[in-house]
Amino acid sequence: MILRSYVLVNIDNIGRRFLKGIEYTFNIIFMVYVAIREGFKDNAHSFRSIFSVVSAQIYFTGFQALPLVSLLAVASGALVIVQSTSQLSLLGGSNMMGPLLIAVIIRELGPLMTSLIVVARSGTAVATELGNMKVNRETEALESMGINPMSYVVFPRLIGGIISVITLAFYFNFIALLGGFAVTQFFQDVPFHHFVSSLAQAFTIDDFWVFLIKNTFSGAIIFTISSYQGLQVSKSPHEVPQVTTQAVVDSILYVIGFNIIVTLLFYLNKLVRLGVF
Amino acid sequence: MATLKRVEIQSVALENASIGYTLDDSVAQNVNFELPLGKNYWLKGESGAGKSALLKIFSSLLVPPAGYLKINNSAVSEMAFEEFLPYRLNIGYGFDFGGLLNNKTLFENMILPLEYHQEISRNDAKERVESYFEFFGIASYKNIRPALVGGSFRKLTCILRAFVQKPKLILLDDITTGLSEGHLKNLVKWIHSYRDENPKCTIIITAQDSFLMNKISCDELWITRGKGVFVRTNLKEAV
Repeated sequence: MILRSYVLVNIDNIGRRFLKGIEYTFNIIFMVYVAIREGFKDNAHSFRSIFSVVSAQIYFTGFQALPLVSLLAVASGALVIVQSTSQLSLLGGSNMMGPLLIAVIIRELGPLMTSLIVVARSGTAVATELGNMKVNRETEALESMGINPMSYVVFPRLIGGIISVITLAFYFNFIALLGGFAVTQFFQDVPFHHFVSSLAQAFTIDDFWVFLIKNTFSGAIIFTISSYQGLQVSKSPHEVPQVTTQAVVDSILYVIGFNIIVTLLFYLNKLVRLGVF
Repeated sequence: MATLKRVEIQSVALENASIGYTLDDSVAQNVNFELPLGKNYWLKGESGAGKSALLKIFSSLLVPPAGYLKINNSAVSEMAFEEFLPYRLNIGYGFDFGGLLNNKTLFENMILPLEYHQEISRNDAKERVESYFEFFGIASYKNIRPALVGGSFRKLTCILRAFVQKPKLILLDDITTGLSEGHLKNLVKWIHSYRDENPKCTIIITAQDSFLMNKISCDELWITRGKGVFVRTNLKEAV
């Protein structure tokens, strides 16, 4: 009897958490919809006002993150290239270097690393900023002036964030491949033309789509969750660090989950094309 | 220029409304009250009687936990943000604390609604905001962010921003707290001149002390716990 009630309580808790997760996901999707809808629908929204916020977001998220992204890109690029060339030459498959680099760096590492950097730097900043705006009644003030916080605060951050993540990921991939190749020249002698041609041969249009989908949606996920969490602050400053932590945790979970789903669908599509299914 | 046109506010009424932030802490229920427009009001009531909540409900920053706020006989809670916007442009709200955007200067805070809605040209907007700063003798502080100026400047900017769009319904929450004596004296002159320019406007003020209110000709608007909202005509000659 006790065991039965224990099991039932646990099943109940799991179900409750699952439903909360679904509700939260729908709230996030709904917020993206509302922000985009309000952003485009707001007749009063002048190009000047939105441009200044979008450009500030791109400067902060994209431009200021370049040194950190460069460092991580060179380091991870060098590691992947050193490992792949040494392992593949041992196995006698050095012509597989291109496809491996495309798969590891462009399809997986680039989008994921970029997203994690953006979560750590800008996701926290957005959640904190919006949380403090709520405490200081700035969002209420915007509303009192007839300015919709969704179109003035959330929408430009969303757009600026997506643009930043895409361009940062492109930059990460470029530096990881090129910088990584340069670093490996200290240890191994791989001809540059061989390196470039193997990459060019391995790159397909599917890789472009995977890159674009992963980064676009990762940017949207990070900035929507961060904005959503920031706007959850009701009145007290002590809520700000709490929502910031929650924004980081949720952003990482959702970004990793989304990346896994896209990768799975990509390989599933490949298997379908090969006639496995 | 944007094509958005503001709507004249003909009537403001509470219909079966509860006053408060939530239903549980509402100070009055089933309030039916129509605000006579075109006057100055001193909103009075005990501490915690719901003065700030009532101002927020009138400004539609707060939806009554029950019942309706009706402006021009339309329930505000049933309107989308953009549907209410033409009315909103005719409502100014001055916060009791906070309310200024911290990443903008005092000037940028003041000009923001004018630039955003583009009802007037940028040059006219600049001229209007400059004139406000000059009237109060704080023009030298206009390019400083709120965190770097004294509390009185912040409070004054927040109050003046409520006037900058030249609305017809102005709601000022606790304006005497934190305002220096000099700014307070100028504010009295300012309110008189604004009323002269806009005789049909309605100004509702909550204030802790009677210094300012004795100098403004106004009726008393009372909110009492459990009883609701009522007007007490108590016209005083302006000093």
